[in-house]
Amino acid sequence: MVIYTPMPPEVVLSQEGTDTLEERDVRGVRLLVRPLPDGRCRIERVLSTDPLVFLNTDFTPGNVIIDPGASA
Amino acid sequence: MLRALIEEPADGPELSTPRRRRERDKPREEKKPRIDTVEQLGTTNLPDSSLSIHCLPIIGQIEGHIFLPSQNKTTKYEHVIPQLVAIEQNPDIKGTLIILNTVGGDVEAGLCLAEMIATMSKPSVSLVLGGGHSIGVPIAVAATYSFIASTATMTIHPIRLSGLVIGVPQTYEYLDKMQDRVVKFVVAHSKISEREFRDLMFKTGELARDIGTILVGKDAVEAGLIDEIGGLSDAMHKLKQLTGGR
Repeated sequence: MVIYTPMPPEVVLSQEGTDTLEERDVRGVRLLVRPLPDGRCRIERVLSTDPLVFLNTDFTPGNVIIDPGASA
Repeated sequence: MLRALIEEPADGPELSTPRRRRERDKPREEKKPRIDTVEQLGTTNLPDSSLSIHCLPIIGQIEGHIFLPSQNKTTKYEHVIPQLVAIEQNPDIKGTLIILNTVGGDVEAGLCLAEMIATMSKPSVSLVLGGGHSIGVPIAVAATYSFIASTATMTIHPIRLSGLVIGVPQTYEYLDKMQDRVVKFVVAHSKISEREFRDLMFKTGELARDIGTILVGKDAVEAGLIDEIGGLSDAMHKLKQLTGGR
């Protein structure tokens, strides 16, 4: 892999932080979520090109999804 | 059903939106048909019409063959590729607005996205906001028409290898070929000449740690890289024009 960026390689490739994000389908919308210890997960990012999805407050990043598998 | 799936934000119910409060106060029977729509179509409380212009944000590092460490904000090409295929296939979608604020990233992933955008049959308009650096440049020029915000910047610099580099002539040739791919794509999809682009790429005295050039808004347009200076309304207007006002 060749990285082509003006950012210094030590910044891009530093291994600080161990974030684990997962992708889930919730009601047909692909979401990037952070799993919580109790099995629920918090929305981090919406992976959609449909601007209307972003107007749906249910998918606001920070919201907690109780059962992400229910309508996957 | 909807309320069972999505919980209030952690800050408590007092932050809930007026729409949610209205929804909660409604009698159950009235909510039923709407909930069916939620389950079947994945939409809630929003206007029925679907939008004909989709928006593709390309942000942070462009991630390709290898996972980047998690502190990077990334756009993964495996996310974007199916989205572009879906946009191409969906007859309701007439065009794409590509919003760029990227610091570059994987050369092959960037070129892959640029080629896909350039070969779509539907019109696309790119809008560079903040920054569209390095491998963001071919993606910006890949769109049918490109805009840059007057405050946005684009950094053009040579591709380098860092870390352990085997010092043989083949290494240089490999990098040179990689760079040629980027240069050829940019030249083919914008008004800049190969010579001008290479001049900008190898200019000295502009960047503190590197050779290359930073083009701010107007400079990118004057160099022929980007078509016009503009913002959201200009980009949307152009897209509507390109899609024939649909």
